[in-house]
Amino acid sequence: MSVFDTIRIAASGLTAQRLRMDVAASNLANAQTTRTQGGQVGQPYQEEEVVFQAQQMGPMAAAQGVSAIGIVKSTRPDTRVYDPTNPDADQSGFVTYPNVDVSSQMSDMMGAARSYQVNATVAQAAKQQALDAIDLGKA
Amino acid sequence: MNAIGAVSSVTNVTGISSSSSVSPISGASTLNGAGAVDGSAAGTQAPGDSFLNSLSDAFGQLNTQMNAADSSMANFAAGGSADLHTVMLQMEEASMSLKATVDVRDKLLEAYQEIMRTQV
Repeated sequence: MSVFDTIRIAASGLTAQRLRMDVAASNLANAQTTRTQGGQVGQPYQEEEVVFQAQQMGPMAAAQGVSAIGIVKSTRPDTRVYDPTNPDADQSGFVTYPNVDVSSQMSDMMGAARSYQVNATVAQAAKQQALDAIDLGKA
Repeated sequence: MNAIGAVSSVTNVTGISSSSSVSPISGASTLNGAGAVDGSAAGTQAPGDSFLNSLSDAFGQLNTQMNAADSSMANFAAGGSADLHTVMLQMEEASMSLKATVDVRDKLLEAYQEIMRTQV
């Protein structure tokens, strides 16, 4: 297995964590969004989550990278708040807010940032290993 | 851009070492034996396959890597959708391949010069 396979596995981890970060950013940005993109009242933004899958990289089955196979909507119920003056309130005066859990999204964001660092460190170590191997050829 | 210039200059060097003389190649075929130890890629090689062939394969691969790094860098600079880490890692891969190739070239030239210094 070539040293580039190690780097590619780490790169797949980096890409995956970037996507996780994007999704967390989307969830946090839309934590108070009461309308979906079509402008429909009463259908707020739905929290999203990334699904990852291990994927073989290179000739060895043990060397697996990661790839995102999809983004699913969370099934947590929406939050309903009584606010009759809000333009998006329904007939009974309730506004339906997204089911985004801001604190869990914040910890997910931090987790993504740390995992990104971990994968970057792996890539760095693999690179250093290759450079050490090249140095073996030096007099 | 610059990297490609470096590659073409390196390929020129092999061009010189391959065309200048055939005798150092047979001397270098002992290196082929050493190469067979280190990886499966060299192991699949037919025994008659020359070291020069595998060297030019390696150069072809290096060139491909350099081109990939170059195009993804250009894509990134033009505001394309490429991830920054993908671009950086591709460039690192290309630079490591170049380092390894330059080291192999140095070793070859060293061996060639050593043989040319033989007293007759």
